[in-house]
Amino acid sequence: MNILLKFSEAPFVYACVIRLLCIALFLTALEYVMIIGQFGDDGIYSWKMIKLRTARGVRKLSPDMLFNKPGVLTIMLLRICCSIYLFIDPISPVTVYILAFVVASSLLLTVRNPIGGDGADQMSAIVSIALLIAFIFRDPKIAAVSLYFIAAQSILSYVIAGAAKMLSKKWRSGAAVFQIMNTESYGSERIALYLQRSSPAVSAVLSWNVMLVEALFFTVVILPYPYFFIFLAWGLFFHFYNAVIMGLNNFFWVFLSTYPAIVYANIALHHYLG
Amino acid sequence: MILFFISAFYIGWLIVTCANQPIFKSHKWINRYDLFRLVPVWTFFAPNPGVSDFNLLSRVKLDDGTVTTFEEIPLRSKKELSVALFNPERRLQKALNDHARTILMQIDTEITEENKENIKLTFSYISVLNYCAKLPLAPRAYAVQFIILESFGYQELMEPRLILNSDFHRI
Repeated sequence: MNILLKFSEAPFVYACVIRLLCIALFLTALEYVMIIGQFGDDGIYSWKMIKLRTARGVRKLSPDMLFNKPGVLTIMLLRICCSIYLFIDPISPVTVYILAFVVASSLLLTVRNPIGGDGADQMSAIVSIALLIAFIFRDPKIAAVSLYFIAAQSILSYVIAGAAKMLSKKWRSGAAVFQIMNTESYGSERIALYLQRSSPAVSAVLSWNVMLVEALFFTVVILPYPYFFIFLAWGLFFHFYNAVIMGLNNFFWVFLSTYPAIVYANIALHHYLG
Repeated sequence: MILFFISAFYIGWLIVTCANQPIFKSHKWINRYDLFRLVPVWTFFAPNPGVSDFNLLSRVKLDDGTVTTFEEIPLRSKKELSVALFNPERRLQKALNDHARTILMQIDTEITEENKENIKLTFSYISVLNYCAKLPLAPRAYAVQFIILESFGYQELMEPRLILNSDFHRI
């Protein structure tokens, strides 16, 4: 319970959010450094190729020096340094400048790479911007509102995903779970085989489990302690499973970084309601 | 006053996020103007999850006219615990998968028998061709060809189908 009270203090929550986000930023930047050859003229992320597709106005404003292989490598190495620094000292006078670089480089990389990105990259940029706004103004109320926003965006992601699944016949019947697990890209041969051999009810239960928890994820801010932890623990397991089985490794740290903000929002709501 | 504007900005962002989901007509409009992709689509794997895999294969024609056999370019990571933490290959494979998906979408929606040559002018086609042409090839390679197949999982639910069979392009 004592540790829970810590989550009512914005600086502590900010430190948690920043540290978790830094793990995601570090791993993502390191992954890009490992395949930096792909950013050369002969790679899949070749700027020579990508700029053919980029709108002319953007292309004119996009400095080749920044978007070619050495430029991207420099940005990635700087992002690695920034994430290490912020992980060690998340709240310092230079945090705002580092966050400004993280946000600016995220936006540049989004323009640079119209392909290969995913929802984790988007959530990472969204969280970074909210953190930057909080650190620019250094006002307790703006800090609180920024945390509410991070929590709301995270909750929205689950609720929309759950609602969208409920609209689908494949998801309602449970067929989608087997079909996704059967793909080589996101699935597992053993799990697919198990689901194929077992009763359709098993797939349906798994499917409804995902749909219901996601769609009801908004209750995570309403439920009292310790019940809201059920949703967070479920989310933790869900992203861990997605990382191990589906290969969605960066989602784990990025979405986990929003959880301290969710706990903060829950405590604030209950405090407000008395 | 600043607090009011920032709160309004955040609320607006959340509303636009809701409006950007594919079930709404506003999705296309928002997507067009979202240069920095800050308005996410949160419908992960829904309503219609991807149930197929893409396979990319390439081969070369040597300067004496001999054609080599197709070799698969891996588009998927190994299922190991280590990739749950660190998986650089995924960034490459995701880009190739995105291109394959785009090509499939263009063939399904835009390309007809009359304008089938237009696929060669698309960004995804040229990107995949550029990637295949720069792979380590046989010393006497003269031209490269790639194909994209769609397969339907471990328990093959359907026969794999050919999405695209490129021409031989001179390297």
